[in-house]
Amino acid sequence: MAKVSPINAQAHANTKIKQDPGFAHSQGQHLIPIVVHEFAPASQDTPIVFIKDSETGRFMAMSLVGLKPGENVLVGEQWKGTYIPQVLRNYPLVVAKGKEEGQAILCLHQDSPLISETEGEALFDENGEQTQWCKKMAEQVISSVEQNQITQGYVQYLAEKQLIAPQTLNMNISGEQYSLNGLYVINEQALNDLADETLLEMKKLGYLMPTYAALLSQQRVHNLARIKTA
Amino acid sequence: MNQANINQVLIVGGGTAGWLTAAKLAKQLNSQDPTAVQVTLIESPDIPTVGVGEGTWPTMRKTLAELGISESEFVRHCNASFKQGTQFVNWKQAPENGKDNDYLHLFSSVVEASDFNLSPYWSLSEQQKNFADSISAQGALCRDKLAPKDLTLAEYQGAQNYAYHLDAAKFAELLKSHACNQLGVKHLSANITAVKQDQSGDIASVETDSAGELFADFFVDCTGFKCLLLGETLGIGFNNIQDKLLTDHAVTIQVPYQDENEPIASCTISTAHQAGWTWDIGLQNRRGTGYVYSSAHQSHDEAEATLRRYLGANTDHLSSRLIKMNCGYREKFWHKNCVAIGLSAGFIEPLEASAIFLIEASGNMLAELFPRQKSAMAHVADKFNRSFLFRWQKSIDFIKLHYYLSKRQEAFWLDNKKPETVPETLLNAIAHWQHHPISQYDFDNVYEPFPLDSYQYVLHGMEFSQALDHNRARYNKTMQAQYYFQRAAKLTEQLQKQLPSNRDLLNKLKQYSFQKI
Ligand SMILES: Cc1cc2nc3c(=O)[nH]c(=O)nc-3n(C[C@H](O)[C@H](O)[C@H](O)COP(=O)(O)OP(=O)(O)OC[C@H]3O[C@@H](n4cnc5c(N)ncnc54)[C@H](O)[C@@H]3O)c2cc1C
Repeated sequence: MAKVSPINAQAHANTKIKQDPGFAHSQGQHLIPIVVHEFAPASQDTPIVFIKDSETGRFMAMSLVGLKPGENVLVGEQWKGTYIPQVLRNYPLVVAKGKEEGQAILCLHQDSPLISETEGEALFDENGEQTQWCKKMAEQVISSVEQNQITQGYVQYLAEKQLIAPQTLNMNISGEQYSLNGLYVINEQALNDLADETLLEMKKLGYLMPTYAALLSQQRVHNLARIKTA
Repeated sequence: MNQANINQVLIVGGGTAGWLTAAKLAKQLNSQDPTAVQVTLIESPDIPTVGVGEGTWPTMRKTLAELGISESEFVRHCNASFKQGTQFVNWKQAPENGKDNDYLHLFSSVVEASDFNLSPYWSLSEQQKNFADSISAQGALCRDKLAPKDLTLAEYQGAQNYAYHLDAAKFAELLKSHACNQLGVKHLSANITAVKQDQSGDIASVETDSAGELFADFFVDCTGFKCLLLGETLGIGFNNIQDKLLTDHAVTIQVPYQDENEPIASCTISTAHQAGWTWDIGLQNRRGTGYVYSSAHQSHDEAEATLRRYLGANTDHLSSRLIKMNCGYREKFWHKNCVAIGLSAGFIEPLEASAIFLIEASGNMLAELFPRQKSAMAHVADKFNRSFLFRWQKSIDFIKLHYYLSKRQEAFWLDNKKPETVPETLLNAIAHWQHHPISQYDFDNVYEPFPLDSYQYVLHGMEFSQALDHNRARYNKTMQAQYYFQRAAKLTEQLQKQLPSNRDLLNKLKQYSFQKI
């Protein structure tokens, strides 16, 4: 379990955060969580799929970056996609819920190899104030949390309207058979069969564009296969 | 008169039978449309329901799904838990030197016996493991008190087949609210004081103490053991089965958990005792337990003491309830314009939780064949009667099988094995099975209540001796059989790792829900 701890001016006075253009920390993950606001750009690179959280049964939106469990074909010296999901850019910063309602605390993945004393962007300046960089990151991370909630609502809507359906991904690449289970994708038929009122409702909620983006993104498995074999 | 349409149905009785039937009829006949058949249910505010009936069959999932009830809401509302079969403790024989013996009757096998019957291969190959564990992963799940699914599976879908344990009163309450609010059932609360017939002998109306006289074209008798309409009014007789199955009473005790994290069993536990057997059903908030016994073989006081002994210490303060069981079934279930469903139709000792699934089956058949004209009634009634006569008789056979194979020596058990108490159909089948595996052709009637697989779990669980050696040449698909045995072992290992405990999943369902997909 990754350890996270709140950042504070004393403990992290000298802490700096390095950049890793290859996002190596996501090695070993074939699914990267994304928010609905990222569907359009993410759909250019990878399939957008949905999986169920085994702890809560809730659906989560994911960018599929590998063709088998534990494989991420986009990590490398440089990230091999045109779009970098926000959750990767936020790392190693995260937000934890505070004790009070609505309170958000900026935290750090303690074990991240990106943490350094010498290289990278400082979290605090010599007066113990958050640096500009840190403030900008905090804003970005907090806005991710809000976008996550919006995404939750959107994905639950898709589930209730049964616009997603289970799909096993089977591929044969250079004679090797790949199979991924537990994925759900936008069901084109269900989308075509939507009642007019629902379609209108989705339009008003701003749900149409991401839904079609996710539908079209299913073609991007070929992109993953291409990068993998390149 | 004969051309008259049937528009109004009155269901009398608001127990599990009344509400399940009301909901099924209203849903399948589309009672929300005013031109469709209209369903009204009347129940007495004073006469309580029987209050037991907590074990179900996997058919319940289909029933609930068809009614449009969310599984998560059902589980939350009814304090329900997941049931994967029944464990029979000390049925084979009395415990020896304090050591219990047991076997499991499960809902899932790696391959259905009608597709590939593993039974002869198991018998002939002298497997290390018992029959249930050789052909199913579910026994291990029951022993580990694991759930048959996790939150990633959609509602009503399982990694293994499953049913529920539920609180009967809460279940009737949920069905009532769903039937009245979503399905268009009308509900009245009043006592019936008289039942009136017309000249043809049909039931015309019921008079009530506080809701006036109620007319209808068709009546469903769900009045429990009383059988007010079909029995008392129409005079349909009762086939007592006391000469076949000897129990006649039950004493019940509800047992709260010691602490809120006490594991919840994911199968019914049925334990044999001197003059009967106990059921032990784990709900979310308590266990429902009871001792079903023969009062000819044990006094009521001794029976209650037997149950308390089974429950162990710390239960002296818990109150018990004595229930007289009227075991048998009606000579006919449908007569004139009245059909009996539930305890009014019949009751067999609740060893395999067959009562509620016969209610479901009755509701399904009634709804499917529902006659809209009086003239169509006789034809449907005849079909219904034949179908359910068969189902009751076969249910008796199946329950009797459990007793017939037992090696227990107490008077109750020996009496239960006397040939004159055993239906001939069962004796013939058992004689055949001594030298032949059970075949799907032994179960070729579509109304067969218990499938071939169920019989095999019981036969092999009870260590029935089946000699197939003379016919070994016939069972030559050993590779395929081996493949299934290995698959069962692998699946067991995998599911034991993957599935949450029954308690954990139920706790999570307090907060989260299964998805529809
Ligand atoms: C000891 C025991 C254990 C059991 N265990 C199981 C089990 O594990 N699994 C299983 O499937 N089944 C089990 N059963 C059977 C199960 O309990 C019943 O099949 C089920 O509860 C259906 O009951 P019912 O609705 O027919 O009758 P009841 O619950 O008795 O309901 C009768 C209804 O009729 C109404 N009524 C009666 N007279 C009048 C009147 N004059 N006017 C108006 N209303 C009237 C009452 O108010 C009540 O609403 C068990 C039964 C017993 C006795």
